[in-house]
Amino acid sequence: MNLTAMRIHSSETVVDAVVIGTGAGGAPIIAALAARGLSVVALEAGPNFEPNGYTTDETEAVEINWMSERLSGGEDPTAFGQNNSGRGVGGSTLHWGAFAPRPTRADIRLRSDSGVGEDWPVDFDELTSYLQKVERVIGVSGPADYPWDPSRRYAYPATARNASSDMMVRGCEAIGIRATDAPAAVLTRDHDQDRYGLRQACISCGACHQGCRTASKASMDTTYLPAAVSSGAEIRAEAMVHGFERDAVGRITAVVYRQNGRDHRQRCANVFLCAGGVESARLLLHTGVGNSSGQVGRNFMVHGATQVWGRFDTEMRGYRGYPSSIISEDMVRPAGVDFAGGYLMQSLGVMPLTFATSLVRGAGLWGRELLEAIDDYPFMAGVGINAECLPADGNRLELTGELDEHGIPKARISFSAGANETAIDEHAIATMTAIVEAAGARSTRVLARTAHTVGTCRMGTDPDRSVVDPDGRSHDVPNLFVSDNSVFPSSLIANPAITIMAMGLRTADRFLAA
Amino acid sequence: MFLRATGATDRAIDGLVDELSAGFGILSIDVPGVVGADGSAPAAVDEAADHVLRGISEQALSRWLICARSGYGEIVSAVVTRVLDGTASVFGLAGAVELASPSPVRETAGLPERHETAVPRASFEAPGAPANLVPRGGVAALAALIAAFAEGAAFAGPEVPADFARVIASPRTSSRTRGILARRLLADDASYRPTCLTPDQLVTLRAVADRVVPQEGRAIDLAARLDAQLARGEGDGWRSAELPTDPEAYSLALTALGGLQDQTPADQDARLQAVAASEYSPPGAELTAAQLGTWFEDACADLTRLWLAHPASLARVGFDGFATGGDAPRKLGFRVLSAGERESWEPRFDLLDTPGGRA
Repeated sequence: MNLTAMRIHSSETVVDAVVIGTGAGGAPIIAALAARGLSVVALEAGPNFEPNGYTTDETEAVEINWMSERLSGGEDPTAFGQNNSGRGVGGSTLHWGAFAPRPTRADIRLRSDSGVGEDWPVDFDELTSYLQKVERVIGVSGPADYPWDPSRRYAYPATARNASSDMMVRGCEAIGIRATDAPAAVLTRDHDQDRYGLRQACISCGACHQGCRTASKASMDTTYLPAAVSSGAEIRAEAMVHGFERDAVGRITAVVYRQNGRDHRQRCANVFLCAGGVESARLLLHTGVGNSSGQVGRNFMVHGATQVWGRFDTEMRGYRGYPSSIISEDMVRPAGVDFAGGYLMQSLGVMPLTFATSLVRGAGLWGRELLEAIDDYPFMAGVGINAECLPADGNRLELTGELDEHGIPKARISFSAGANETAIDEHAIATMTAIVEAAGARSTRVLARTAHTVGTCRMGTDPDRSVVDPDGRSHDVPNLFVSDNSVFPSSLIANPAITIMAMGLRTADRFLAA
Repeated sequence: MFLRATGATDRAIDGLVDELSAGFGILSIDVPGVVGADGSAPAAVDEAADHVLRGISEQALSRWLICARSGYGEIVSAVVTRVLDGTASVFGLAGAVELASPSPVRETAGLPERHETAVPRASFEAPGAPANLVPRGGVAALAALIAAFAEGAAFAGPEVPADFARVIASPRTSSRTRGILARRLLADDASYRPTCLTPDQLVTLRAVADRVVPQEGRAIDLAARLDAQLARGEGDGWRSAELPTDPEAYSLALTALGGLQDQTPADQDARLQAVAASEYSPPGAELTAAQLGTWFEDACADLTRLWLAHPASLARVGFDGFATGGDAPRKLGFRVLSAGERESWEPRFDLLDTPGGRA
């Protein structure tokens, strides 16, 4: 993004806020605080990009992913790299899929309803009002009538349906499941974005995960951050935070970061840690800040993201078009089941290397069998889920003795699916297989996957069981706030990005009101 | 593709073209006013390169060598640079042949410095242009050397179908993406020396690669590309907590699999099946059977991604999603998204009738 006319702050000035991370968590906060006239410096580990410079090439497009190595353990190690966190001004919104479902009322009261998991210490209507604000700023397309929420309105017409979409709609209709155009933070008309400029209508190139070259897909560098910079916020790219300076009572007085091989410190009155489910917890564990409860890094959750693909007689070539243009919320709370929570379903388009990697890692293929499955790529169309995950004792993030390129200990993230996750997965595989078969697939293939990194700095009322309070403020350090997917008390079954943005706005408001 | 000077007589090259035209399509491009063997004045290198690239573009070549006397070195260098950075609207550069003047005056203005991705290149001594009498046998021998270089080195990798090459060269593909594909197209060096693995480990990895991603005909040296990737420290952002670092895991696993290359394909498959099932633990191995199984999944993913990223592999699965950009402010995406339909700009391709398709 254009940072040339940005206001520059002295590192010796005590700025009102340092925000660590410029993704879905940090960007709305930077914009909200700067709009109120506060002095804000944002520190982003990754570089600054221009949308026109992205490439559809999957190998080279990893420049927008967090590729610094993480160690993955447990019975079901979760994949990072291209599968998860982003890196760059805009964070994970540079590579996100822009699938923008809202959480439901049931989502944030999982414990009250089911006796397991956690409730959110957040009022649902308040959260919804923030989601609506987010949707207005970033631009969300969707259907005229949303079957699971008749009051829902979207500003832009739905994205174009591709072959996978038609397949999923056909299959769902055949077996009596409701499906419709998905909410997507993708503009379907040209729009002059305030303080950014022209964001073009989606051209159906299918390369959302490699970075949107037309700025049709909402990312923070084309929405909240230009507004923030125009209000006087400063964004420092390639600035990797690795330390805090604190006063005698434990308040943070400066943030220490490495840029161009040198350490810098920025003095500040408040810190907003918005580095994502892995990096926020890693930084707190590395600095020993905010962890009197011992809860930092615990309650790590991932969404079940299993896919069922069908092999069709006709060319589907689902890499064309917005990849996930159909949604079904019919399994948010399925009837007659013995598990807590549920799952969302979406149609799937996929780029070739991503698909092939799933065949290797998700189906264990190699050799002739692998090549034959890859040769089927143009004939494949699929359905995928985003499923509830419960916190479990062994699922956590810890530091290893191995150091990264900045001298910070690498994270080890352990994850093993529990009985609830397995039960949801089995139900979803049966449902998705029925959809794909009803749509006319001659054969089906299940690819196991997980996605997203949630819950390592839990929000809660009890300082012994959580890291931040319901306002997002550290229980231990009064001028430290955390706002990203790490604070989610439960995983939600809605894909997390717009909820992260909404919680960012809420955290900013709570801070400003204090 | 030959560069030659406009208006100059070059009997040696005439003879060479005659000899080569039996096995190769020949495009001769006259470059006005270059410094030829006849000593004519140099033109601006960039203009000459533009001229050459236009000639290649008009012919829509899909796989080609650039051959020129050493005096054209700067022009060749400019052409190669623009092909590899994608700014030229052409695709398919496979190598460069320098026709050096006979001693004692050896030309030094030469072929491009090795790019990060090396362009296969060769330099052969050629008879001087002014020679009125070029020995026929000498030209035939030179043609044979060039043909051997093409077959043995420059054209050693898989070829991209002409229609895909046309779309990659077209304005629908961004210059950055075109450059990426152009560099990846270049054939691997048969004498590649590993920098992360030992030579023995590389040989074992080649055997693993042949079973994980069996290639027919002209092949990509996936093992060499993987070694180079490991040497650059490029991982996929994570690794199993049960494994040591990627270079160490590869080194230990390939040592444990030493001798695989000497087995029959059936025995290799059996052994790799045991590895994949975490049931292989040879005596003295420093990785457990479980670790070997985990490493094998990583190796399969790495090898598969390297193979599929090659433009010929993308063409094989009918993927043309790289051609949805262009460099203009308005990008060109897909307009037709439905099953069984293609757009007029898309490459013509026949998909393989796979066993899945026949099931």
